[in-house]
Amino acid sequence: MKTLPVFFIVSALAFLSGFATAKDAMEFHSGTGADRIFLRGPESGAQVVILDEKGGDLTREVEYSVEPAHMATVDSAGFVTPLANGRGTLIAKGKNGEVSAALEIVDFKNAPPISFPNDVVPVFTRNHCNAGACHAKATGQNGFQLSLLGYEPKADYEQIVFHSRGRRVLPAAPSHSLLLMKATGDLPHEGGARLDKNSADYRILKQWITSGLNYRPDNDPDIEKISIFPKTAVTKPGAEIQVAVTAYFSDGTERDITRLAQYESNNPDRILASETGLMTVRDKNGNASVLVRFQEHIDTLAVTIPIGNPVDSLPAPENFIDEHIFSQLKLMGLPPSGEVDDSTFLRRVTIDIAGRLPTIEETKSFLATSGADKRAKKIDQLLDSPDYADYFAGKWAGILRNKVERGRPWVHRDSHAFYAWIRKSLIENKPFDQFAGDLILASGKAYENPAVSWYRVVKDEKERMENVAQVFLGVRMQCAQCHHHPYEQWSMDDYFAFTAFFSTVKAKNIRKLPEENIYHHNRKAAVMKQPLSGEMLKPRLLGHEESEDIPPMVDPRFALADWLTEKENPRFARVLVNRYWKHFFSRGLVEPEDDIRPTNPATHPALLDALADSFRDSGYDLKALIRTMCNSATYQRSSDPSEQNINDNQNYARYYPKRLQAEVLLDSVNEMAGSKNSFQYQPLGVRAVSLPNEKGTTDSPFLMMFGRPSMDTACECERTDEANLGQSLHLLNSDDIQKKLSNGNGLAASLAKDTETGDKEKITNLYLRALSREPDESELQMAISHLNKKREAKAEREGYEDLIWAMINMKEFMFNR
Amino acid sequence: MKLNRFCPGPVSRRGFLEVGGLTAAGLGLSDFLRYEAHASELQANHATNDNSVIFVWLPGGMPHMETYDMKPDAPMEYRGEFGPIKTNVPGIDVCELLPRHAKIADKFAIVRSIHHEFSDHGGAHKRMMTGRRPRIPNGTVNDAPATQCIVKDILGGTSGSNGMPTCVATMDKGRDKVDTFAMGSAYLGAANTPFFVGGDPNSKGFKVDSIGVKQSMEARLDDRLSLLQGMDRLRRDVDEGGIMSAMDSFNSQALEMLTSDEVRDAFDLAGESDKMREFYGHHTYGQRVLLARRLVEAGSRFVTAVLENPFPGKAIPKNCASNWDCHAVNCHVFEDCKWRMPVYDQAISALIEDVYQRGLDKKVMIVVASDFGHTPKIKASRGNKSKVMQPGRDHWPKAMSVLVSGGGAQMGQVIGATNSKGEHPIERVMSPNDLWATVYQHLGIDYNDYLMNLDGLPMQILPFGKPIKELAPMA
Repeated sequence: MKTLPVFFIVSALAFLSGFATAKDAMEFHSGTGADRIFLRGPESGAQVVILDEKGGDLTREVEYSVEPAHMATVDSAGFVTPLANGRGTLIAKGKNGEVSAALEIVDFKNAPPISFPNDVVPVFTRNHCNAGACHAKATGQNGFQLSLLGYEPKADYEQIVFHSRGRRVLPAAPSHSLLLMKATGDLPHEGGARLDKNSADYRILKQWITSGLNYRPDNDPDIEKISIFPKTAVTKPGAEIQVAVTAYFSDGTERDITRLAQYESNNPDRILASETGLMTVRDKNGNASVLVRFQEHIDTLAVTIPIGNPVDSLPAPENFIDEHIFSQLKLMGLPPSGEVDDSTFLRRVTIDIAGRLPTIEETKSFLATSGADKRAKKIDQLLDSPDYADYFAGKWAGILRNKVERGRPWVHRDSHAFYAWIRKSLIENKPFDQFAGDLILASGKAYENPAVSWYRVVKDEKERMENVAQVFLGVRMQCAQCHHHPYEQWSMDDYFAFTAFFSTVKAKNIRKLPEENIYHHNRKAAVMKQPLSGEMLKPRLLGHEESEDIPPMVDPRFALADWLTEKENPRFARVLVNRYWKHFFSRGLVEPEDDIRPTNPATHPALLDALADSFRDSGYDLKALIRTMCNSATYQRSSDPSEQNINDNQNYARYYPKRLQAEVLLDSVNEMAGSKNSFQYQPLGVRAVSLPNEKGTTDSPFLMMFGRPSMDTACECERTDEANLGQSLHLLNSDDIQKKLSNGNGLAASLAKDTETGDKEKITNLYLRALSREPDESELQMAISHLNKKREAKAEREGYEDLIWAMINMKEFMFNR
Repeated sequence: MKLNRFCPGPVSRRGFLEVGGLTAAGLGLSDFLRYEAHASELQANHATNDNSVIFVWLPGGMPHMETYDMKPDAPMEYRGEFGPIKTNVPGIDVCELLPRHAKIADKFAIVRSIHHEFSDHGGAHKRMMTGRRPRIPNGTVNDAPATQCIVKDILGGTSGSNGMPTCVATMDKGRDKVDTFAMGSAYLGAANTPFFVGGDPNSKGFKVDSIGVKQSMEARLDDRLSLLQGMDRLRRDVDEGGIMSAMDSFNSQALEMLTSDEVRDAFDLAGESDKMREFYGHHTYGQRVLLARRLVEAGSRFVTAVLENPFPGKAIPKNCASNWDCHAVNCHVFEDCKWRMPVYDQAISALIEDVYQRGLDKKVMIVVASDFGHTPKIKASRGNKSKVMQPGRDHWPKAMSVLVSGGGAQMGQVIGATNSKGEHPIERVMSPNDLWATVYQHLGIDYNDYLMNLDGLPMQILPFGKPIKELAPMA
């Protein structure tokens, strides 16, 4: 089916050969193919795109003419509108030459019959009648309901033609149809006047009503795909890019839909899209993409906006990461910052791997060590420490939703066991495919197999499927539960067929306590009902055409786990490496890190693939992955920006600082104050990073305020580093913080008691503790003079409290930079 | 202006709020740039006015048949001990325990037909607070944001120029937690929970933590800030994401709040005359709603006043309950009412009168609601505390009464009705969402608008519900 349009282009080219003049370097393209324009019917039109030899857009700079002139007009934006049938030529004249293309117009007098799905529904979409906030709301709007973005044309047709006793359309007097009178605002319409009576959209609706409200003419073709031209562009700030979009039909025809499609920029800071397919590049360099959508079909334009500074010297690449990053920096013209100093590196890598500040001793010894491999050794040492497992177990406990909810004490025990199970996997460096498989296949009681805790919290099969898709595949299926996914290929059938893999998991109730449940395969055939069609769907893997044939005796989760972790499944490794990349590099190659799809392109697609390949080839070795990342020269850039790279936020020309995660921040504040955490069912002084479940969040205003997740979703986005007023009030003036600082066993108290150590040493140690560096002379003096002032007021201890207070409020402390 | 929005798919919530759907509304580039330059104007788009709400919450459930929905003709085991009294509006009766209400019935409206399906306090709290049916029918941890949080998210954390917190929730000490009354922000994040004020505003030592600086700390905070200013040298432009500068700006907002006389004064009831404090009554209920009135006057937009124990710190009589949950196991429902209602009557009627007196009745809407009503049929059980058989009423979400005052609406009316035994609505059957739609309309918030959940799915502020038409603001 996909070959048809290609045949068509080939034959069209044969027919047209000779029209394009070869002497110049201009390239012609239109929404009805390269080198020709074919229009059918009075409402048709086509967008012309003219590029120079470097791919720059000349569309609005050339002069257009048509021969014979009565056939069509071309506006200055390059849009062709038919005036009469015939064959002729379109000529685009530029400063350095011209280019021409064949023009053919048919059926100008007798418009082709209107198709409801292909012509009418797009009118609704274009005018936002079927937007989520309007008639496509779950409840419709004032009794009139359309499917979201027209994904269910048949239902829309019935709604309009038959519902409300057919009062919406009036074939006897089409312009008095409710549909039209509301849309034009002639009758009161909450959505206002959406359609102009002189518009093509109005004429399409009216003609459809006039011609007898047919669903679709005989042999009405379906759209098989749409295609945007160009697909990539390297451009500069302030430039404009005209695109042309083609729809390819099942009967081999194609149609220009440039002005019928919708456009969405993924990054309006960098590029803005208009309804006519004209993109405006803004004054920010970097990468962006524009999604084009027509019916359920999508395509994207990827735009690169280089900054263009000379990149004279690049550090020697440590590994393949650097090769990818540096070549992009060269392309973008973004000179990287220098190498990070030892102090900052140690603090950075210790926080990132072990979730804590380096101790004073660690810092001193690291700074005193020499040797080219000292950083690599430090990375290994941290990865082998239990702190690594604590920290990452917390990360995974959140994603895998280790909640106790309103559980009794023994649910807490289960959640501790699940946390310990995750932590042990990390200590042992269990291959990640095995980890995922063990989780998905978990059966039994939480006592014996803690991984079933996931099934306890993630209760229904749909949510289980959604969580697995998001966590292990980076696919967000949620949208497709109610309608075709607006950004992806997934349909409702895909959603429910994929859910069917979990349809046989059953919780066997023992003693009526949910925490005693035994999870098992229910030995029935796996099926899931598609609620719209009512069809019982057998399990089908994402992207597969065929369903799996699984006998009732076999747990369908085996097929799921096998497919998930098989080497041929590119998504599994990709989402994991992207997730970890974000952890270490502050932003994902794809953002958000667990939403990987063609319409959300990576900033460095080749790097993402290379990382995934390397992870897969290592046998899904998590520690090896972290080693690769942390040893790269890219990770070891300074975060200090240069004038050239100060605005960079997606090319890794420097390290992007990130705020310490809530738990790490709380532990670090305790470390500075010499105070201890206290949590229910936890030993006094437990580190916040090793809290297993969501109670840590709900019981601690600090952790909640600073964005520790409540584990309500599998989404990384639940953890947030956003600033808020509560954080400021808490750090600046809360009793909680003041109590930590003034606690009698705290650091301030012991510093005040210690009369043997000199001020300089004490302050130096505070700096080493907080920032892994020594204070400079002016910092030292500032601190000493504050201490002296307090000593004079006989409040030396307060002096230390103030000093520590100021340190925990410093951005240098709160950020990993 | 109204922004139409697509089902926007997985984009960040903030990004969605800022740019989502601009093209849908047909805005051109210049409009977009204008919007971007004044990102905060988008918030202004939602807030078409500076109206505010005082939301009085009665946890445990106000017994509708001892307050605003009297059924004197119902059988003995339904109608209870108390009779109705006439009010200054012919045709409207209230319970004989509410004589002050009776004098001002022209200044409030009673809605008798709101109901829902959740009969556990937790589920009912979540149902009422969020405008959504909770996934779990018990527990008070929200799976969707409470109205307070939505209001804060849309209107911003502080309102006006004086740094007043937009949303404040006041309740007894120890009850001032996000989840106690299902005021959690769920997917809107911790930043959007209301500003909690726990404590008894009737007590002498009442003081609001984090508003104002303790005297002992005042000089030190200055010292600390100058120390911090000297020490905190990291250049902010290393953080392209802008979190550092956002923190700086929240710090200055926080300091403004901590040190602003206006904010401190708003939280300080000493600013009210003795006469006014007397008028509201020297009890927790009275002083708490007085505080609420002070706060909205100073610029807060949504103040929740939770009324539980009318006399915290004093012993609760054996046959009375700490809150409104008047089961027989908890209390003797009639004795509890006799103990509680005079205080309630004074507090609410004083609040209403005061708001009208000050000419705030268009700007301020007072809403009094609870998790549910209580069973129309009286049931006797042995009281846990009293150890004797006593009458009580159980949980009853099928019927309840809600009081609304002000908001520029027609007062002196009863909206909806329950059947002859007060069991379920038979006229103008409504859900809690209709109440919230009325409240959002009053605040100038488009309740059809969407907020993103963490899955990137657009969640309508109210999935259903329409403003109560009888309470539309009068022209």
